[in-house]
Amino acid sequence: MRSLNNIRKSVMKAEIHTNNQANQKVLNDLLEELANVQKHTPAGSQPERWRTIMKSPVAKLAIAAAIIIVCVTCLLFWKSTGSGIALADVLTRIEQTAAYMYQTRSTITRQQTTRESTSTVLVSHDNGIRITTQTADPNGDQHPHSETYVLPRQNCVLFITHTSKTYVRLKFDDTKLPFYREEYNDPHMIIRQILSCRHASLGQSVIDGITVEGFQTTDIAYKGGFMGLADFKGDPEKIDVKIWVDVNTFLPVRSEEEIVTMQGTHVHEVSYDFRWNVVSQADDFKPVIPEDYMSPAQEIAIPASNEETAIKGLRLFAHLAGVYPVNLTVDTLGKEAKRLMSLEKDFWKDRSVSENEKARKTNELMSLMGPALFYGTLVDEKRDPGYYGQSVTPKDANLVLLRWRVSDNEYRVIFGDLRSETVTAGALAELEKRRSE
Amino acid sequence: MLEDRILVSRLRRGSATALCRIYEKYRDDLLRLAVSLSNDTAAAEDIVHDVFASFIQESSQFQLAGSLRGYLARCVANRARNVNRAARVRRAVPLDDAPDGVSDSSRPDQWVVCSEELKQIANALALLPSEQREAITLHLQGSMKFREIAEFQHVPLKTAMSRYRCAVQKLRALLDGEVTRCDR
Repeated sequence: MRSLNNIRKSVMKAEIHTNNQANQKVLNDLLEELANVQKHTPAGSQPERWRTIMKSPVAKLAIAAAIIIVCVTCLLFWKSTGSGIALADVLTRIEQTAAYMYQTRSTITRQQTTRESTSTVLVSHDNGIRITTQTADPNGDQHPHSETYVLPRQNCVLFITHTSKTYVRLKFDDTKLPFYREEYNDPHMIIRQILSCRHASLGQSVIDGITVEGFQTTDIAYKGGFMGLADFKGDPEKIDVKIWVDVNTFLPVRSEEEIVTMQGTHVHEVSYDFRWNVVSQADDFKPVIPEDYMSPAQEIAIPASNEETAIKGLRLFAHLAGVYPVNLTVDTLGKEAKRLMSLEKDFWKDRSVSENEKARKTNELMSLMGPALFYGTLVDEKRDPGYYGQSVTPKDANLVLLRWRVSDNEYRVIFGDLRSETVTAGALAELEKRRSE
Repeated sequence: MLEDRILVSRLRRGSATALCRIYEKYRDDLLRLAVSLSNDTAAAEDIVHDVFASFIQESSQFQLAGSLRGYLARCVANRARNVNRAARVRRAVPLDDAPDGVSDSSRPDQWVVCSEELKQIANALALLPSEQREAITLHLQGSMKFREIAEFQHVPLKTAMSRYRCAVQKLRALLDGEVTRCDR
């Protein structure tokens, strides 16, 4: 006679098997159901969090394609690290946190000069980001260096530099700010980047008495660094990024980034002392600019990322330089803008020129960044962009200067004379042949 | 459970990844529970499919109060009750003449394959009074606490516990071949 315990075990553990094909078929049915539910759910019912505005590529695809993609990504998400924690869940946990704080210690070595700083970062879903940075003098004493505010409600980013007593207010259009909001050395951004790169689990360990699980990527596709600084200083040669997550709360405890660029810049950043769900108020994000601080322009408008601003920037560049930029990276166009400004030193030094006129000029030069921002968007959205500024000049009226895909069989083309039109893929192939001829 | 709360939160926002995870995590347990409650593999497949489908439809409004496993187990039990009631009406034949639910024959589109042990248990459970069958399966296969089972069955806690004890005793007798029919 079986014991009662044995009976209980049999009921609990009686084996059941499922057919893999049927499993997938049922799952596909359910994913289709989910897609239908989402399609009929009013947009207003979605949570309004500016941190999650980043466009999901899946949302842009047809439902059928989405189902296949999510199945694949699902498998990758849950099977790639073989660990107990899924990093995607850590992202969700961070997004669910109303406000948090942490410390960052950065060392940036460039051309034998080393700059060390420590920052206190406050992130609030409702109010934005505040970063207070201090630098150490040779005696090791800390001094206030700068404050950075990312203010989503005002669509602007404000930099206050105490050492030079200056400030710059960058005004963004609605479509671009989400991109900049993400561009800081935040665990949210780090995890998103790690997820998009090859990564591995470091297993469990203990940090400050907390059991954590670590994740690491050495993939050079990783783009990091404070406000994208490492990215600005050249392509990475070596990447070593690690993040440790509390196994109980699924929230980060520590992160380390080590980035060496091909130009020799070495960035090392450690984030620690994370405090989750801190109390923060709108007043914490109200910048105080001392009266004696100066600004090159009251407000610098960052161009929107669209075809119109791209053409405007290319036209200005051609007008000032006589040619088109060789490539459309932010780095190249930023350097060109700086070089063009330096050509007009007298204008900038002339005290008889009004501040308003200088501000107008600053904003005009800022429009040079339009093509870089637009090209970056096309790359992010995998729109098959192609740019030929190295060989095409303003005189090449019928040669393709910039092109990108607008539908399965259509491309948008900006020609050497900066007119634009939509052509079929076949017609584009013919047009691009002309360039090679 | 923290992971389940995260998954539900993500599913509420339309995350297909979260749905895949919930499905993988609870599919087999729910199928086992449905087979045990309905003693019919085809019906069990429909029950679990429908439970997941309803869960998705309600996901945008869904608030997880207790455990997700417990919630899904209750959904399965509710649907199994309806299926069993409908089957009783449809058959309208004496229990002794009714065929065994979990059969050996396989369908071309079959999702579930039960082990011999599960078939034997499901057949034995089918001979228990439905409230005892619910009590034992929800506790042992649905991981529900007696308090939750009592709430689900709208009975005092002690009644739920006594139904469970009684069910275990009778199941042992049935599986050991001591009785062939349960006293209702």
